[in-house]
Amino acid sequence: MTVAPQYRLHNPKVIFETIEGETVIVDLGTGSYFSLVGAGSIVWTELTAGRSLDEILTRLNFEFDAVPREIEKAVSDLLQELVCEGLIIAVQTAAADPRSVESPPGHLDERPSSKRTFEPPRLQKFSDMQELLLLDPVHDVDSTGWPHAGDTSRA
Amino acid sequence: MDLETEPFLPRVSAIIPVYNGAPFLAEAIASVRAQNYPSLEILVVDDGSTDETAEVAASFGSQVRYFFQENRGPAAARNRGIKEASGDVMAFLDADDLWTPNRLEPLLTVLQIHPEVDIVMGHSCSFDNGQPVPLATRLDLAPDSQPEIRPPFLAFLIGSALGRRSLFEHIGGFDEALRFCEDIDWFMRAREEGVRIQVLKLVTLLYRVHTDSFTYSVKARADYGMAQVFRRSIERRRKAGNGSVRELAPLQIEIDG
Repeated sequence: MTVAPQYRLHNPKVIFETIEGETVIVDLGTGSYFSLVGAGSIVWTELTAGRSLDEILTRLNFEFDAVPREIEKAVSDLLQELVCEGLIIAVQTAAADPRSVESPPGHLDERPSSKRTFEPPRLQKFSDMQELLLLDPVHDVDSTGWPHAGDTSRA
Repeated sequence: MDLETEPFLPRVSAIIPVYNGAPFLAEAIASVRAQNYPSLEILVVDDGSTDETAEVAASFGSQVRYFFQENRGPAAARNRGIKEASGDVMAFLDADDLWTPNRLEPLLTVLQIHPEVDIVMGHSCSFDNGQPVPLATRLDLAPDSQPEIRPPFLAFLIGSALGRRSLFEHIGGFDEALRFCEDIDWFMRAREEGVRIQVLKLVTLLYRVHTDSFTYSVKARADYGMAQVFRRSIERRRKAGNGSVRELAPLQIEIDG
């Protein structure tokens, strides 16, 4: 059995959302935020869903028109960058059974009608909010956006 | 700025949006009145409260201009305040927060001396609801004089800032579609336009934390709101830059006290 790295979120202060195909990652500890689009957004989504590197590569090879080695290199570079930024951490795990990159992963049930052009994912970093501490106090509101109604305890 | 001798004092509109905030509103209004600034109006915009908010506002008589509207959220309430305001400078305070004593004069002085600055802001200091309100207003005084309070922090909380009225006419008000982080969105839009923001080494806002209201589901929605606001800013800059996204204009942060 081989041992392959798997990745998980490193910093509990990292929040992220994918909106219209663009993943925005916010590091609340530093104020830095990041953008990933295209294959990069897919990598992040799969990774945070707990999928292994093998599964991520299988999905990308399934969806994008590129030689597997090119995709593997680009994903490896991206993962390294995400590790360097402190957004994810590598954990050692036993590898799953090797799969063919041509086999669709279990959570993909339909082959795309045409494969998309592959562009190596690029992590775009923004440091223009670093002066600002984006911690939980700014969230201290209820689901309507107002401070909690009916909170009557006083100083 | 000397309030006794200054020939022209800018008129300040202090806008307090509130929704069922009766337990805190009087204290918030008092923190504005305590500034002892002569050219000031206080506008309370009630966003459909069902508690005694109207009665609390009425207890201040003609010192407070009170407006009621159907519930549309904090952004809409602030925008209503801007629409009704007569001041040259807009200031905001959420009904459960407090202005620090004597914060208005140093903030206004920056706008008076530096016409190129459109937003001036300070730091915030949080305190738990039910706990004593922190008194320190200088960043460098806070740790020693009140070791029990949390360190001041810098955040895009609109209550910590003043903005020229002309700025709201230029970049617009708060996005009423947002329920979270609408003030961060407004600040980011200003920075995208290259607006100069001066940050003073001063605590200007006391931010009340309601720990009992902070549920996981609300946090998840708020996190989504923040990511949404950041993404909208990236998208606007991407369009403006024909695909490339530039960094936002830097803040002008005061170094010396």
